[in-house]
Amino acid sequence: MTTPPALILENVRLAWQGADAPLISIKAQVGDKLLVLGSNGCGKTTLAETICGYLQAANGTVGRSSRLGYVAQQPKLPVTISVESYFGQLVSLCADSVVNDAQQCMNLFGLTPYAKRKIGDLSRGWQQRINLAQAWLGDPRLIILDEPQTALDPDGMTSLRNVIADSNACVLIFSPPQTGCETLVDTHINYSELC
Amino acid sequence: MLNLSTAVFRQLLSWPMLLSGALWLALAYNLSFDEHLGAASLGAFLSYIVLALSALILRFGYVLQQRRQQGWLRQDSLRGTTARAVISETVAAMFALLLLVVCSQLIVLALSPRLNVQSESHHIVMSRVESDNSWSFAWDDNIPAGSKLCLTFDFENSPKGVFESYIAVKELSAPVIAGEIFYWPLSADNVLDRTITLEAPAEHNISLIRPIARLVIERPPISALPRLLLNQLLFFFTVIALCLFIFRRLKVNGNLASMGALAISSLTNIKGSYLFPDVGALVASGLRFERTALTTSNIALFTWLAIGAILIYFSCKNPVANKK
Amino acid sequence: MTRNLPSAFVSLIIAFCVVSIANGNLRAVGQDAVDSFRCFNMYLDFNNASFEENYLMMGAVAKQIEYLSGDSDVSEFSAYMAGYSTSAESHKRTGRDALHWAETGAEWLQSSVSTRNKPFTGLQLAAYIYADRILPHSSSRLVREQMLKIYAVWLASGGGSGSVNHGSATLYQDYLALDHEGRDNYILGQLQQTWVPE
Repeated sequence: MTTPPALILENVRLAWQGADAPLISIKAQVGDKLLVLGSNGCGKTTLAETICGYLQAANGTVGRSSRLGYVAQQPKLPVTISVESYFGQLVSLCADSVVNDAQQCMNLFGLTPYAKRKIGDLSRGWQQRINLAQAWLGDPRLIILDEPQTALDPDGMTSLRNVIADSNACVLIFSPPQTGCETLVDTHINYSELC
Repeated sequence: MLNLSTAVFRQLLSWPMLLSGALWLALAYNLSFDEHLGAASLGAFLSYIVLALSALILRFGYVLQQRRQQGWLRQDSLRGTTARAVISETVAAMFALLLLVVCSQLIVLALSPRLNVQSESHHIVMSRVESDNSWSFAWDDNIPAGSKLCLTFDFENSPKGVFESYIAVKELSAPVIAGEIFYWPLSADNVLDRTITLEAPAEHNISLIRPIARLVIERPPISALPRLLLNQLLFFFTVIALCLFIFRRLKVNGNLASMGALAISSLTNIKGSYLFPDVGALVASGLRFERTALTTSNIALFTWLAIGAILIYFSCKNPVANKK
Repeated sequence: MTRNLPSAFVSLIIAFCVVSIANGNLRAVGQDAVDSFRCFNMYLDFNNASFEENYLMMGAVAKQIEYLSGDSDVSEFSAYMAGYSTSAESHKRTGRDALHWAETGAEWLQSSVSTRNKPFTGLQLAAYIYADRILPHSSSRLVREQMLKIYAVWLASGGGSGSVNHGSATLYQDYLALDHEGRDNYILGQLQQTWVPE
């Protein structure tokens, strides 16, 4: 029995693109780690949100694992509650069949000492770590990272590199070139190569 | 799910909100039952409670919008657990309403305020002369079963020695004695029809004194308070469902969604509208209270609740992706 | 554009409701609280007006209270104060002033017969105001007829619902047993008996 791909895009045209725009196709298996490099405005975030189901594709088919983690470029976090409480609520949102360990996810990015702190009281860098850690919650098969290096210090980048390396999931990173994301995974492709 | 409901509940009723709620209840009690200035009516007290419940719905809309900004909606759609989130939000909102309702009930039951001593209230009724010896009466609202018409008949022009006559509706009749108020108890059918025509024997030549014809309705006793408050809770269940539907399926701003839900639920008060079930009496308060409280039919109530359940069901579905 | 349609639709419904509420065609959920609060304030105004013996104010506020809460006791009380109690000679008012307030009180009661929730006590009060405070200073036939008519209605009602005047039915029947002229005299006789207001 063959494992279904974690992500499969066939002839997808993004919502904002014209009829003559090139069609995007990707196929990625669980365990694949891929960095997609593209300049500002080329459609990286739109593609990431289309994969997540937040945006509709103009045409083509989008198939993905239902167990998905997503790190948005602009994190939306509940700043009034504690880190621990945030992860507690996220665990409640995950499907019952999945083994959830909030503590483990928090450990991945060194968040445990900050567990009792309010998210709003933390620095932008630590908020980004929370943004990253939540994507690993619920044992996802596919993780989309949109410019994950934002606001991370070298220590944070090292944690991220290690977590990606240890992960069994398919990891897809979107980033502009020369941001340091090249060090996170070995396989790099240009956005234009997806077409 | 309990964890999620608790989180939404805590967001909905933060400490300042709880304090404001307690102050509002104390104020509502004083405004309604003050020894000299209060209306001493359960209706006045309930009107303040309904306002607090409406404010809580607005707060719910605000919290929903906050949760959208905090990324919770994206999280539940990403993880395919929208149903769980919607049910948690509904449970949290219902629990917040329940808390308010139970507290208001406890206050009244514990302090047992002075209520209007008369067990019956009198209301104006529209009357029309059909002929010299028949009169019809009509009323707009659903009125409680057991209501009576309170009529005064003039025997001035009756033949000498006639001090007694009778009033008939189809086969039913009741005696009218000169110098006594005449009460006609309305049957369930009359109440539903919202009209009745009474007839007197032409030979007695009695006439109705129309300006003082009244409808007599029994006041709900203080023991009816739990049921009255339960009715409010049931009414607001569908308002919550409406708010969630507008917010999640129609993707409208939470504040606007809660205002929209309250506006749409207010449309149930439009008389003769068949767009919504006739459930306005569930939140009867103020002046309308005695006239319409506890008059909602079971069919209307269950239709209203079914609408709520359907709206919740549709809100539970994963949201459709946006077109950019 | 299509993403804003639901918001526009919801806004339209809200606008419709606001307009309907302003027109008086619709009552919003929670709107009764506004009336209850207004009513509370009006009781406050009524108390102040009654303390200051400002009868015009009492009458105006009583009308509002009656409209908002259905409580007609306040309008009867203001009519009693203005038209009967303080129009007595013991209050040392000028005859003209006393007559003016008596007429005003009677007018308040008469104009609100069909709108007061419980009009019965007010009928008797109006008849007594006419008999004791107006008729002695007025030779108008109209006033006399008005008084007779009102008292006859009160007799027909047997004192009204929940009345303690158990003999009223007999009074009305005695009245009916008389001829037209006899009926008028009967009422005048009844009204001349001392009436102790509640």
